[in-house]
Amino acid sequence: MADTEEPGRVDEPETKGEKGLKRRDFLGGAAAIGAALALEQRAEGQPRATPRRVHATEGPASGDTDDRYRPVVTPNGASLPFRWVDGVKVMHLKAEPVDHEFTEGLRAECWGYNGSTPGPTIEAVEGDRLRIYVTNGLDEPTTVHWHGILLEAGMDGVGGLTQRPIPSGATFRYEFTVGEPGTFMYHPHWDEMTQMAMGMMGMFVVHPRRPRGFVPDRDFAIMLSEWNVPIGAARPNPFEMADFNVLTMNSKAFPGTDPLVAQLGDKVRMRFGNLSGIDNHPIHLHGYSFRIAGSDGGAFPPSAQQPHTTVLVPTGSTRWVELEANAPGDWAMHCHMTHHIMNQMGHGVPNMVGVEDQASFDRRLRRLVPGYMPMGRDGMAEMGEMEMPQPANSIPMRGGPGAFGRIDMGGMFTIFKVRESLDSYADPGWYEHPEDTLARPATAAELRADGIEV
Amino acid sequence: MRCDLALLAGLALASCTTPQAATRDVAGLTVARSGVEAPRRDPGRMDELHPAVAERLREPLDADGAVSIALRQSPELQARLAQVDLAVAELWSARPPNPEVEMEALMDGGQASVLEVGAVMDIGALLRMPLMRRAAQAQLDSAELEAAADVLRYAYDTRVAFHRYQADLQLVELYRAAMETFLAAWEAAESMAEAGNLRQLDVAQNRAAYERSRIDVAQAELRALMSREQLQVLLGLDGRQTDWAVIDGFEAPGGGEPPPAPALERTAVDHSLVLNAQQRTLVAWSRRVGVERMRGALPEAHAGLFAEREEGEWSFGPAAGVAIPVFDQNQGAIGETRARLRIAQHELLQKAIRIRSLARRARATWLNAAERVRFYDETLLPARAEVLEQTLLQYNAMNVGVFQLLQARRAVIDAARERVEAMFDLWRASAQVELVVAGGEPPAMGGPDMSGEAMNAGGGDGGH
Repeated sequence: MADTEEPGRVDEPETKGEKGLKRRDFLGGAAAIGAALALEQRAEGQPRATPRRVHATEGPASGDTDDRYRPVVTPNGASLPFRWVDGVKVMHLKAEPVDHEFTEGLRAECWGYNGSTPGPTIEAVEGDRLRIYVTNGLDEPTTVHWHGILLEAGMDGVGGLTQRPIPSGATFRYEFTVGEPGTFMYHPHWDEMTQMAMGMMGMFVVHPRRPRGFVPDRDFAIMLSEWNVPIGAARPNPFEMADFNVLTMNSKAFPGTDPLVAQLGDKVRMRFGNLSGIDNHPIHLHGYSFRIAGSDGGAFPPSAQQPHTTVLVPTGSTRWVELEANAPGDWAMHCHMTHHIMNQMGHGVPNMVGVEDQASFDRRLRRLVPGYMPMGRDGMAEMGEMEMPQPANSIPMRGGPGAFGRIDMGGMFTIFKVRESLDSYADPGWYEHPEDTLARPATAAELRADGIEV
Repeated sequence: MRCDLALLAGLALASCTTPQAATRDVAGLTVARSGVEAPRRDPGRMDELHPAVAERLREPLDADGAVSIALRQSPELQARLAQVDLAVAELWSARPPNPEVEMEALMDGGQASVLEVGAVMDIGALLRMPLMRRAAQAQLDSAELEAAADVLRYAYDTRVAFHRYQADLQLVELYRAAMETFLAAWEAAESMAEAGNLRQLDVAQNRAAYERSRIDVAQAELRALMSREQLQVLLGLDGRQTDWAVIDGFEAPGGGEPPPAPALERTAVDHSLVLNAQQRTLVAWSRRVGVERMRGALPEAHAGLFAEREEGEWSFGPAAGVAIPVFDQNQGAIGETRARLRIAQHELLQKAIRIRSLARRARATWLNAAERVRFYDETLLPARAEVLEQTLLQYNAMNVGVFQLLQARRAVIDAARERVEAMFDLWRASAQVELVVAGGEPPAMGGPDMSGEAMNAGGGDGGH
């Protein structure tokens, strides 16, 4: 990415060389889609509160573009639109209820910003002066805290400490200059437990004014969070303090999570924020070793960047990792806390693993409760494929379709899809494995030849 | 004199007519009022089953069949019907007094020189006889009406006992179903413990709950046994006829809502056999007052013939005597009968008040019970079924376990059990409405609780 000193300047796009994927291509496509949507949203001279949607794997859409940086991709989300006013980057956040779909089968009335949870990702360049208007569309006061941004105390957004809470219906102005580049977040600091449990949070990315070293081709921003949505209910329970049953990346549970798509050779940055109620999340990426390059405290010096396959993202913190997409395939990326790759089932249920099949109480229960089926005797993997009535608006069964049947995971799970050649960063479908690189049933001859007895 | 004798003879003959067969009147009353008949039976043949009873017992009984058997076979009811004979006996005792014959002789040398022969009758008693007889007839009327009321009440008691037994059979099944849920929970806990998933404490708790449920079943079975015996006694069946069954099911009674309270009260009062009986008792006491008044005005009066033979010659002449009520005008007896008349008048008023109240109570109970049954059918049972269905969905979602599933099933069973009691109340109220419309009298307010437990403890609606 070329450097720029002037806000609003549009540089020539970088190219991907022989791979043929040019930055102008996806920016142009995004702008075309955005223009149609802008008619219904944008008032003259005002920044638009609602971000325009494009395919989440392709990049953000915006009324004004900022070509000083390669915009981040917020899977299942978008970046916050802005407008330059006298050298100040003006944005508008509206805190409001959101009708949100975690994945197909589970919708809930959540709270978020500008029609989504998480709210749109804020992007700026170090040294930018930002003026962010926050309108409170909730029925209770709120504030916005710019987590990790170093700024004047009066702009820190802590209700009662640094400002009066924003009353319902009111609009407050925050204005500050962003400093060091990095990965930050924003969230309320008023009735925090309720408002964050309801989904009010967003990523805040500050790009370097003069990029050096690792300049990503693909820059992903993922907010990790956890929810309690009772099975069959349609609103998160913000009073639950320990038992969370919906674990999300950008407020989506697998299979609702959009994949992260990259082309072989792309430099990839993955930014993780965690605003879960209590849990840390060890995010594990299959097939790659990456470097943990920074946190919300700033970039780590190269000498301190060790290779990892799992990055622990503590709650109330961010991490970003960097890698080169050098291994094609469909690579799982998920929280390694195993119950964080579950969906809603399995909470408060007695352990049935190992209980004898066709036990006498099964026969009795079938008489007493028509429709009863024994479950969970041999583990829970089969539950995802069992055909049985489920509570309305619930995703108790884990997983979604995969290239080889059902993927037996849910929640905080997504797929990093790397391909040798791409026409676009849209979901390329399932990876086609080269011959003889795929696990398969062993033949008897192979077992004999290798002296394996089974 | 000739005329007087003819009058006396006429009075005497009129008083000698036979009373009507009281049982026919009782049967007529009950058939007309509610279609039930309680034929009188010879005590010597009560040991045999009435043919109609034997026929009925071959099939499972319904409520009408049970009533039919009870009215034919119950010695208790036959004993009650036989009490009418006491009133008949009183009527028989209102007969003309016997004439008195007196003879005197003076002996002279072994031969009667003077012979006197007199024959007299108590004219006062003879004159009081028609009024006494009318009083006895009124008392007999009253006795017949009361007996008819008792027949209707007996039929009601039998009907209520029948439905109580039906209800208790249902409850036994429901308690068994509940026990099965506890057994399933215990078995599940054991299986899970065997798999290493559950503590022995959980197993023990589930076992204890199951064992407790067995007591519930045993108590329910005992209640059913007691209510069966209650019905057995009312049916009048002895130890050789205990192998009978009742029809399955316990559905709501047919027929619509009872008439409005004012109309039902009027019907109850107009048809009331008890009030009619009391009215006839009132008439009987009124006539007895007349009798005692006559006795006071004419305490003793005799008339007859006197014949004397002296020296072989007979002479005849009338004889008469009368007591002059100067001091004793029979005030005591008159006062007593008047007091009894006043008592009967007050009792009549009180019975009318009670019958009106019973009619209102029967109607209110019917409405309440019908509403409760409707509520169980349309609201609570569907609500509990919905809970079970949703719990099954949550179980399918592995959000709840088998224990909660069984708990939801038990809640359905509990509601069904409560519905059985509401249904019994409806049947009982329905029988009460029918009874007051027919002229009978349901159990008084403030009587023993007629729930299954209370009834089987010895008191209750079904007993006498």
